[in-house]
Amino acid sequence: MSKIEIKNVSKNFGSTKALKNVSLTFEPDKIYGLLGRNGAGKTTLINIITNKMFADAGEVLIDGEPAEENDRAQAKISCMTEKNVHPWVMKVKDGFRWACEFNSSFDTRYAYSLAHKFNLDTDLTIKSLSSGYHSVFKLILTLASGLPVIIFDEPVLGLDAAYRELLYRELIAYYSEHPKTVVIATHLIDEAAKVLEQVVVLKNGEVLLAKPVESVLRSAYSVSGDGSRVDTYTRGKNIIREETIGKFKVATVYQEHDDSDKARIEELGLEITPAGLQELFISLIDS
Amino acid sequence: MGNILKVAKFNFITLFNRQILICSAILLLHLLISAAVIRLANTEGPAGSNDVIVMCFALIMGLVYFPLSFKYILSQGISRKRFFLAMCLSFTFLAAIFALLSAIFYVINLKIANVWMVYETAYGDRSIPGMVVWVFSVSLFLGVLGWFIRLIYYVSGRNMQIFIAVAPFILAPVLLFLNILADGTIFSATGRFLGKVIGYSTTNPNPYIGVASMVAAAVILSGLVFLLLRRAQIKDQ
Repeated sequence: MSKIEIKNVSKNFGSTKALKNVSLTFEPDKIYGLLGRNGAGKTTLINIITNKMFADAGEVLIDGEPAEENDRAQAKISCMTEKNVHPWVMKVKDGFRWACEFNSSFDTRYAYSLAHKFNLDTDLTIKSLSSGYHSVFKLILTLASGLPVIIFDEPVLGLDAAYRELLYRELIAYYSEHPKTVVIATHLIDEAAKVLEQVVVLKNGEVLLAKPVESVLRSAYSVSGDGSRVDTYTRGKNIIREETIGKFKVATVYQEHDDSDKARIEELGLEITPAGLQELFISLIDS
Repeated sequence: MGNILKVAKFNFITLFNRQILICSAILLLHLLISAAVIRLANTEGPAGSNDVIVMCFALIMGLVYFPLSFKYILSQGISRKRFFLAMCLSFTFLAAIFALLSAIFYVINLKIANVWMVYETAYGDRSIPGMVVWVFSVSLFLGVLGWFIRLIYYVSGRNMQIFIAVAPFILAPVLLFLNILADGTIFSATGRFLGKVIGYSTTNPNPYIGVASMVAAAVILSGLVFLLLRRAQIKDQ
């Protein structure tokens, strides 16, 4: 059970503001989706949480302790980064051995069972792994870490659909037995959506949204039909996306709605469909 | 302390091991070449130097291994302070291994070829303990120097990196020019200073002055390394 608190964190790279006064809390035993476009600040935020970078302002606390240069706080986190951190000549099995050396909670047996499920040859060197298998290797190290906080930065990079499915299945199975704080930063939102409980959307270094997935999805819906009628219905509402094809129009609305809204939509002869997380994400980012 | 030893162990088993083996192979090759040259040329020698080989390796390993180790160790949740201490310990062990390797090959070499050592030439001393301690101190200094140079390069921006790469080629002729203008006093004063610092003198050479200076220089450099390292951030993430 570990909580991560991010308090007013800012980070600049030269004149680029990567993070602007970001405040967030990752509660214990929940799965978070950290979403945002390229350059939104997801990796920078993860790097600050994991002490790989320093914030220019603000602080990160792990269970109330500062995360910066704090071995005790950092010993609670396992992070899968997008880039390789292992020496290229290291063998997969040695990667497991060293993970066990540095982290006594590392579950070697589970790591080998995952390697078997993903058909990962543990005698290969990291240099000889394909990008997909390289991701599998890093995923296994993180999943088997046994630590209370696990962070994945683009976990499914290079993985085919079957392995992506297997990953999320394994994550759910492991999480149900060993609840922990999980943060997943990804672009492939629809696939991750089924495991996410909370969603945090970053845009240009700022938190655009931080809510439970259920509440976000409940608030978002698409209305489609005749363009003028769609306009009549959506007038005064929080439209985050509009698409028009001839007289046909689809508008995505992000606003709490009730039975009276549904009745009005029926009355106007329009169709209502729930918005998917991916669609909502794109709409929010573009709006 | 546990994590510091683990990091040192990681450095040796995954990063340094290959280079130590390559260095040993080169020392062996050097021994064979020395023997062959002396036999074939029908001369008594002298043949090249072991200590120069290990010194080169110490500098190169200092230059090469910092980013590899830094990236991995930080990802294991270990702080920069502990990483620094572990690297200091690693370079100390590495220097000791190089000193022993150099001495072992020196002893073997003496039986085969009339080997030439920097230590022997500089101090006129053939004692093995003295040579081991001296090679250790020089290897330690060069390892930390390599680490320091690489770290400056690592924490610098692109323009600074270009400047660091080009600076020696600009400074060398400028220094030469200034020395000519000053009637050679710059180089002769530098030579006198270095002679004192490394304990070299024509009348009474003392390798232990050199050992003390090299260790002191390594300690001062490692202090500077720590100042740079404590705010160093992972790159290429």
